[in-house]
Amino acid sequence: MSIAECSHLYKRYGSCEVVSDLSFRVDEGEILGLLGPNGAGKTTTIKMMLGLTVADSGTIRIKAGEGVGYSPETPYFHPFLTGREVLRFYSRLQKIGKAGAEEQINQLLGAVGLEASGDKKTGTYSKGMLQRLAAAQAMLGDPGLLILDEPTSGLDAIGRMEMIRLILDLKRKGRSVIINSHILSDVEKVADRVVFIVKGRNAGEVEKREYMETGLETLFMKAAGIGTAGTTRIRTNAEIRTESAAGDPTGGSEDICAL
Amino acid sequence: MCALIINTFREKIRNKTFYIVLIIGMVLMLLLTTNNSNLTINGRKVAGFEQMVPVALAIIGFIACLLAIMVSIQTIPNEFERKTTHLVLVRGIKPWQYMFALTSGNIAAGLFCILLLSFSLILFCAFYGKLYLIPSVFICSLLLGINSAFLCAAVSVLTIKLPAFIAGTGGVLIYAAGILHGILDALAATSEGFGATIVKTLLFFIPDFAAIQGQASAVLAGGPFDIQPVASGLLLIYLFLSLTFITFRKEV
Repeated sequence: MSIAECSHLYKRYGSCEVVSDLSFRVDEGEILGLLGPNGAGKTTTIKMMLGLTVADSGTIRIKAGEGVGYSPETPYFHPFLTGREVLRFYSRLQKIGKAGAEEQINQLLGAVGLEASGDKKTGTYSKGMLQRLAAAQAMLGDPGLLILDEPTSGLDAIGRMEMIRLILDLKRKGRSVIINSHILSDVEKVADRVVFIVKGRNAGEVEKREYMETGLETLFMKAAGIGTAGTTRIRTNAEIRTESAAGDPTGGSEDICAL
Repeated sequence: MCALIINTFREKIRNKTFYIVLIIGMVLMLLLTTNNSNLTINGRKVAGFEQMVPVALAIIGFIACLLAIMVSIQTIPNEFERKTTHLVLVRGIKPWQYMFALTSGNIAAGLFCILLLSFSLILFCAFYGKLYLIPSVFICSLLLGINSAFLCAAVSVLTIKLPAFIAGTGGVLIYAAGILHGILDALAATSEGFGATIVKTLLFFIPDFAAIQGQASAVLAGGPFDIQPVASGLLLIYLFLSLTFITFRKEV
């Protein structure tokens, strides 16, 4: 069963069509990788899913009652606030009760490995720590779907390892996660399924076992039209649509952005 | 929304430039309020602490207005640039609530600044044993706060749509128009044509800063108080604050 589904999304900025007939779904408890070159329309797609920008046409459905948490590519937190204060601030914006918020904040700081640094000012945090804090704020209120935008971008080897471990932890806890990235090796380590976005379109998608056989790079090159793939066949956008039509993968969903 | 206002206020009062200007203002007041001053206004020598207080308050008003522009110029553009907007808006905060909170935070910081400047004057009052002046100085500061609060609101609203530099220049022009309100009004009244109509319309939306300052001086001197410029200043703050309900950037 899917927790979110995007159907036939279009988005144009001036004369440039950034997203064009893009469709994909996110299943419950899965980690979906959105993979594409820079400027492919991944971030615009995420912004549409978050309601930060409106699609020109198409629909985005999120399962009823499920919240969406978001961790940006380059998180900025006021440097004079401690990690705990940042989480407290966002919990207040989310109207989470004081007592519940404190309990959640302690849990989240532990989950992202910041329990020892929670009372230090974020101005003293490394980029990796800021990314983990961003992930923690995304998890406030226990959302069903987490969207992580370039979670490992700009991190050193240790920072990347820690972030990957955190994403795998999220999967173990049964969360649905969308990872928007252009770093193939990181997506390969965590994603159950990968959707290739090229020039704003769904250029195909592959399951983990498929890309483990052939290699994500080869498949990505083929999807992007810059190389030849091995034996594994990438399902085309039209095939995905046919599969979706066969069963209703969005049962019990509600429109958050009917256009 | 309170969390956003408090956060904006906290961020603003941590700005180093803010404190540098404040210190300069305080030093100016120290120089002014000492009895050795050779200041003359309209050919009359201004001597003695009591005569210096209105001058000090006028300087406080001027510095507070400059600080109001400085405080407000970057708040909203920074939020968009750092993409903090994303983390706030995905939590169901409405764009108008967000802009209103940021503008209110700016106004709070602007008022904090004028109160801080006035506090130094109050200290000097206490130092010179003129304790009876303290309540008047406090009320005067609040009245002068109307000018800086208006500038905070106007510049904040401008920065929602315009680049910071243009909004800042707009803020300085608004300040100039507010101080020269009476003169510009008289000029516009004696002129005709499209230009005069534009000037009259613009002046309608800018408080008469000089008149508000005049009322502050009236409080200090115990003279007659005219509520009209004060009330129109407050109304215009309300008007600009309500503009945050309908102004937002298309793309965040």
